Amino acid sequence: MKKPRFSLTCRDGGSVLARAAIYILLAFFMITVIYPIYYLFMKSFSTYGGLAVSTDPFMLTPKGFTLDAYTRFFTQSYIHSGFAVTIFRSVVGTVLSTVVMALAAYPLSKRDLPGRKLITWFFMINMFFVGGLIPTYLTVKRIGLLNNVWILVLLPLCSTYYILLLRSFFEGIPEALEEAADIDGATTTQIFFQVILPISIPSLMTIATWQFFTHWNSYFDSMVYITDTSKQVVQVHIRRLVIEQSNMLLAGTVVHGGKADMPTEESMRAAGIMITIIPVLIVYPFVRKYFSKGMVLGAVKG
Amino acid sequence: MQPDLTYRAPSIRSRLYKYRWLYVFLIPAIVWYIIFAYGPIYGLQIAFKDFKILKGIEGSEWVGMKHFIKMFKTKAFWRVTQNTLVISALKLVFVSTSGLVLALLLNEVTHSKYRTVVSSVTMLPHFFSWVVIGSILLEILSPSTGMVNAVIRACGGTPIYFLGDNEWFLFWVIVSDMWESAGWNSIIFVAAIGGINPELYEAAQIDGAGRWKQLTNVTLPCIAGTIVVVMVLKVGSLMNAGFDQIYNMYNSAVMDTADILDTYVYRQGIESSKFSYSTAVGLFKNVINLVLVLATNYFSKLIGQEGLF
Repeated sequence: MKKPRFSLTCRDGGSVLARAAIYILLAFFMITVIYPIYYLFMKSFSTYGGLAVSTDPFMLTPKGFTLDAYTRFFTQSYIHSGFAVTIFRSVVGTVLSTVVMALAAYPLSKRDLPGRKLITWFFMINMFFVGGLIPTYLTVKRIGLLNNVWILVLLPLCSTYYILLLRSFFEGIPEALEEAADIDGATTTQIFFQVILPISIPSLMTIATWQFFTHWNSYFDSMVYITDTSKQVVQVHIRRLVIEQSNMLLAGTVVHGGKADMPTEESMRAAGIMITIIPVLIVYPFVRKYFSKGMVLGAVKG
Repeated sequence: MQPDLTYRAPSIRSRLYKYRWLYVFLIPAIVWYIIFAYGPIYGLQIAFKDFKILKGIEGSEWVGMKHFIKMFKTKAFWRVTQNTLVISALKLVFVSTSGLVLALLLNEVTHSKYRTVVSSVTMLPHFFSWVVIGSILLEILSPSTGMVNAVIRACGGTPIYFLGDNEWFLFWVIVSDMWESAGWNSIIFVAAIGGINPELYEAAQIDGAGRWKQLTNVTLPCIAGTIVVVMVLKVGSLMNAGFDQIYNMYNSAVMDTADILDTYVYRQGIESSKFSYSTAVGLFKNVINLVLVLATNYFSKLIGQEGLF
């Protein structure tokens, strides 16, 4: 298959022009992801955030430079407590939930465990039929965990989907490995903690990072089950500062502040959004590889 | 499968003894399911009762189908059901396909570095909460200070209040959902495409097939199974139009198109404390959901795909 030197066709039969168009299209998609973040980032440093948009709608550079928006954001009431609760639930919630789900998934991976099917179904029914918002609310109220930050850890503790994902992972571990330890006289518990767990770290990390992001981004459970403003997660405060405020503007219940403090308010909102996503942006590159792996693991099981 | 196992499987009693610690492992999860999964299912009975907080779940009076009858007579209920189905259907058509299209485009990228960068970046929005995405949308689409309207104004147009207009609102719901999930949804298709035997492509190239022919005659037929499964799953969740997204994007001006079943249940239940009525609406939604899941699962088995269960 000799080709002329300046062919418009690639080796695999694709047209160079079409390929170039695809590269550009994908680049455009990436810009739509990166640019809004960049835009807010620039706005958050600007001295007259909002007003500047009329002179430079694209905000390629910050208009003036100040960290005021960030310092002012942190002086807002409840931002510190918000971050404390968010970090607490994210760390404790992730660890506890990964441990509990791994402990549940391992026995279910034993094909000859008496009652295996029954217990699996006991978990799986929850995938197809749930009590819903109000019955869950009443349950939480009944066990006395309303307005207690532990509910943010306990309510999302188990997910049948992840348990099944972990189960199929444990099933994939060669039996010879356990048999060898068994012959050496190790007990079931020892086998789990000393043989199975160490080689399962990547899979557990997949689940754990996913849980971590879910916890970090959660706001609804906090809004419903927590009544003290000082115990709300930070996302709820962001919601209050950005979304509820602009909806109130729309409804005309509050009058927009005078021109003097309007720009800072704009920048402060941008700063608030940036502060909540910066941790995600920092952690993301390190854990990205786990996600595609977890999805594929689930897909194979599909 | 059982017979070939039984020849070496010891008696139930000895297995129970052998695995005794594994049952201990299961205890925390089982307790969790009893409290947080089956507790609420038990509480569903208030849909058939006139729930009074002071009387509790058990003490409240049975009223039969009263709340369901009221629900079917309420105009708002039909409106939110319709909105839910419209938004879900639009997402089924546009958002699910965007993941597939992205995967197919990625498949044309021959530089593996560029491919990794594109898939990392496009996946990123999936890790933002809808609070953040809703905030970003508000900032960018704001009629007074938003970037999009600044461009419109610069071009001589009049600013549009995108999120306050019923039609524009739907448009941005779809676009932002695409933006949020196309990268994530593409993963499963990328994996399916990666699993295609490369010899099929080589054979097609020898036969003189261009990339387009390879796409229609090799790639698409090979991943048809995955496409069907993904679509079937989406149909199974038709009653979920995306609470988090709508809740962080809607406002009083667009209730006519934006209000969905989940937001309705939330407002009726938590904000207006109509516990029994809200539970009835939620139960109605759950039952339809369950029927859809069972039906789609049956359907996917019928056409020869592996079912979910």
